[in-house]
Amino acid sequence: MASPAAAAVPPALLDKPTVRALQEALGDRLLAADEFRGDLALTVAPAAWVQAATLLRDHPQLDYKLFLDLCAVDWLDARDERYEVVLHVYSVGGKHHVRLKTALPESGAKLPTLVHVYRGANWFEREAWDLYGIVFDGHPNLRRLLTHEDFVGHPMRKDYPTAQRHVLKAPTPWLLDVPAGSENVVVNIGPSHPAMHGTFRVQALMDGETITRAEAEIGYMHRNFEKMAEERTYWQIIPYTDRLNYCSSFMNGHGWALAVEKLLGIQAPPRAEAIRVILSEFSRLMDHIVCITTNVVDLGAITPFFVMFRGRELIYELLESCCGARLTVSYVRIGGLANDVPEDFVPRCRALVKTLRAMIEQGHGLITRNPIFIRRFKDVGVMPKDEALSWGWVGPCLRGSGVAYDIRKDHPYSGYEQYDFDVPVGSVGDCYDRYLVRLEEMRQCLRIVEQALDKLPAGPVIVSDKRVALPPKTEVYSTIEALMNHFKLIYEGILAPPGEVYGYTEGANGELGYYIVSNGAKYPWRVKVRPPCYNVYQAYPSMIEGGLLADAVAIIGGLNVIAGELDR
Amino acid sequence: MPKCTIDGKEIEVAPGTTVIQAALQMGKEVPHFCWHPDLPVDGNCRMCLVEVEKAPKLQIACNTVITDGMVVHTESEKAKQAHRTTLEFLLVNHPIDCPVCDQAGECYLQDQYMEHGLHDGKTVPEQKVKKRKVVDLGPIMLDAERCVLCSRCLRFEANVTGTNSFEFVNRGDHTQISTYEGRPIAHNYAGNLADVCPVGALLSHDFRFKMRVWFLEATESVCSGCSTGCNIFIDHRDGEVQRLRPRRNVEVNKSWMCDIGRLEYKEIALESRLDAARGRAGGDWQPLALDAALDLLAERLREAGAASAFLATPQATNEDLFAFRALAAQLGGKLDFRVGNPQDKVQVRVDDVLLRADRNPNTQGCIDLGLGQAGVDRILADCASGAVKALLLQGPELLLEPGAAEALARVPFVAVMATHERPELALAHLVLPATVWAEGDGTFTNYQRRVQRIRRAVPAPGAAAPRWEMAARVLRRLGGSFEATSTREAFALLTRAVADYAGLDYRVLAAGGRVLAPGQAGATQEARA
Repeated sequence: MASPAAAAVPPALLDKPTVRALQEALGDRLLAADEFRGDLALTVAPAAWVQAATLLRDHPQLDYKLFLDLCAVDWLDARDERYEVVLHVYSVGGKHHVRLKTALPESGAKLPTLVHVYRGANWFEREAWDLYGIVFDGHPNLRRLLTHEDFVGHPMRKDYPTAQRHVLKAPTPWLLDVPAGSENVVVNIGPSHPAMHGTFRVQALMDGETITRAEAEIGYMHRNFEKMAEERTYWQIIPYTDRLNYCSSFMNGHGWALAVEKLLGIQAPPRAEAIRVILSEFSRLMDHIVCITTNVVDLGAITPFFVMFRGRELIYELLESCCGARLTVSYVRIGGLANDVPEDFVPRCRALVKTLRAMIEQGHGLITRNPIFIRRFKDVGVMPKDEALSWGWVGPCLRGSGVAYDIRKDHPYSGYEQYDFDVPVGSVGDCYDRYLVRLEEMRQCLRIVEQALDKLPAGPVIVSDKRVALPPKTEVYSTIEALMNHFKLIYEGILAPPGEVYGYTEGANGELGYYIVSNGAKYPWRVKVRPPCYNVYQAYPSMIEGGLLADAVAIIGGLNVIAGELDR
Repeated sequence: MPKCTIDGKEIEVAPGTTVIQAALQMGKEVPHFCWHPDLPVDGNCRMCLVEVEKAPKLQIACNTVITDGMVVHTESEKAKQAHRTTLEFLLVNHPIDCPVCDQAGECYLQDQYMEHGLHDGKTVPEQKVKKRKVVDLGPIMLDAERCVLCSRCLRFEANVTGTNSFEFVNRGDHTQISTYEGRPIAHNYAGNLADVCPVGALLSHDFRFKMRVWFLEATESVCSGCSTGCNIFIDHRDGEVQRLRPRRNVEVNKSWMCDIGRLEYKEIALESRLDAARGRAGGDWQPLALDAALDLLAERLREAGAASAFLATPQATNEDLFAFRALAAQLGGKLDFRVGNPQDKVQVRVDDVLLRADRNPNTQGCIDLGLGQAGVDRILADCASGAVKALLLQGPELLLEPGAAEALARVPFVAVMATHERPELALAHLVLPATVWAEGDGTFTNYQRRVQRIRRAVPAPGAAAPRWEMAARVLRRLGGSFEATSTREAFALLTRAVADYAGLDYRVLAAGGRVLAPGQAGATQEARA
């Protein structure tokens, strides 16, 4: 094709089926295509937005059925068109991520909604409206999501002052439209309800014990991590990542470091990667402990909690011996780890594996064949496979619904390809399946840890690149070169090249993604966290409609929604 | 015009352009220490060595003139190694001072180490040559150990101020920079020595240990100290200005500014800043909300009608002056600005460098807007005879004039816009708090008739408001119109009303300002009065 846009699509990329299919369908409305650090990104005209997304989803060769993320970027004066809307989707069959983008002018930042293409787009578009002011035509409920209704302005815009405050005078009493004279009772579940593991709120319209309608309200723990990230160096962001999914904080840092390393085009040394895997797997295990034991506490069983939380305590102590902190560890660094593990790390881990193995079997003995739990979990909260993909479910929840997608297997990182382990997959997609998947994953975590301990290489734990890693303190105090190096890295930080990447790891809840946009400055221009439990929780109100209130409690516990990750 | 290729890109340059200048035109910075765009070339640091095809050895980019067809590689392996080696030599005796050195954050050694060095140091601290540290040179401080002997300070003293304060003393490894007998710098341009020094050898005493520069935000503005209008950066953090430094404008101030201008920032946050309006009806002062104060002013002006008088201040921006003029015109009162005859000093130099005798930033703006109408003597005479019923001063200058007190005593209502508390304000009946130059956007017109933008850096204290805004609000209360809600819009109104300023807008003025055509309406206005 001799259209002008063809020049913006490098001929080499036309080999890719995704690019070819969009080129054929959209013609010159496919404005650009590029590949950076292995990420394929396509830019289309706003008028072709829905068509492009639908094509990505439905084209048999493409099959991007898993909805991941939709966000906005504010370019302010740097580009002719101020805003960009970015969609990330995944093809499970094709094992391929793709990024679809479109540019919107400042006056006229409107785009048709994608809720009819991907169910999960609902909350993401609300968030883009809330934080950027982008209007999505046809959205069924375009209201604020993370900020409260007395909030004025769109806080992620670059010209919104970070320190501005808006006080909420009173909470919203009604989330649902209740018809006048209705005999139905409205129940508020949360945000301070112990069964809502975290601060989220659901309002349910009850017909007896059955929930006829439900509506969710989130944002109670929204701290706008993403705006803070725009005013911090890549290093300074690490402690903030701990506070996303705080039940397995090391994994958030691991994912962040990998995403920045992808942007920089560097790799942490093998020893650092192995230690990251070990600590990530322990963190995954401890996150699953929280999920399972608190889920069953809600249903009346306290014993598993006491039995298994001992395991969490031991893992905390291990982390403390490595980096000094138990919960929010800040142990990763870009390019590796802050420091090496203590000398007794390997024997300590081996002892821990034994203890945890016994603990898992104890928990299994208490729960898995318990008739009460089977009655409460089996066939409750069924999420069919196709719906799960459309919502953007990932991790144990998605695998419970029968989709065998695990990033550690499909896109191995940090050396996961070296280790033998199984990925449990459910068949029904009910609460029971989700429980079984998590339980089995805990066993597999220990398999991975043992192999990683066996293979643990010697060597440095941080890349030896002076633009990324701090020099040793002895040199800092005795040579001017190392002192200057240290100074520049602290006050300026790592300077990433201009470009954008989507870095993704298998967090305890599934695909934890970081979409980082860099313009070469010391702070990232944009960071979007792809929070796995956000998509999961989005489906919750519709999952509980038509079911019993008691089932709603059983379901929420098994979804493992962590407010720090949900609201950011 | 010779064409050359630098790092694969072709560029055409004016004859006489050196490699380092040509690279800059392409947006590429060749590493250097001793070269400075506004100082003569010395070529002593050897940092800007580049590979020039057909030349047997590396050439210094600062002193190699581009010839047609020259091909230059600034980042070839040989060039990179030369950069690294030069840095290594410069760092051999460099003290391990970063934690106590103000230059961190704007230090050539730090920046160039990360980009061109990244080598391991080999000198043991005990081996480093010791030199004088913390030498008090008046406005600046010398630390001889940090000096890289680039001679920029020497060349500044020789070529810009002509004072030749610095010399190299001793030899070899022990070479140091020094003034004669260690005497302090005694001229008005010492601050530039700290700017020009690429490392922390010469540092400003005023700024010493005050603030790490990476916390500072730099806002582009223009100095308000005299009619030269040096371009500056206002460096501030969290609403407080920490220092001013020059912003390069080849047509106005090159890379320099004077010390008097440099210290102007201290007036912004003085305790004596006015942050509220006040009025007195005969007796004691009463605080007033700004709205109430403007109501009162409007009422008294309306009563006075054409028996009112208006004195503008050349401290105000063009937008301030334009709104003030509109207000005067609405009432038909007498208007002028020439307290102390600043218009006679706009061009008059005080030295051969930058400073001018007119210590106002916008006398030319007053001239251009035709504010020299009634004559200050005439207005004072009218005041003394009781013919002026209301007098609005845009600044407190008249209150300081000898003999003014007597004349003003016969004026029933005197209102003054002021920025700082002073005893002379007691002569007024209404005081309005005004913002200073760092607290609002606007434009000044300098001695060259160059219109330059100033930008808001910090918020104003309390109820202090821009002068143009206060005038506009009074004007509207009097039934007049001033259709502007921002200085940008006010300037747009100005450009439509003042012929010489036609076609200008903030975007056009953004880069270096714009000089108005010479010999226009402004000159004839002045003659008229």
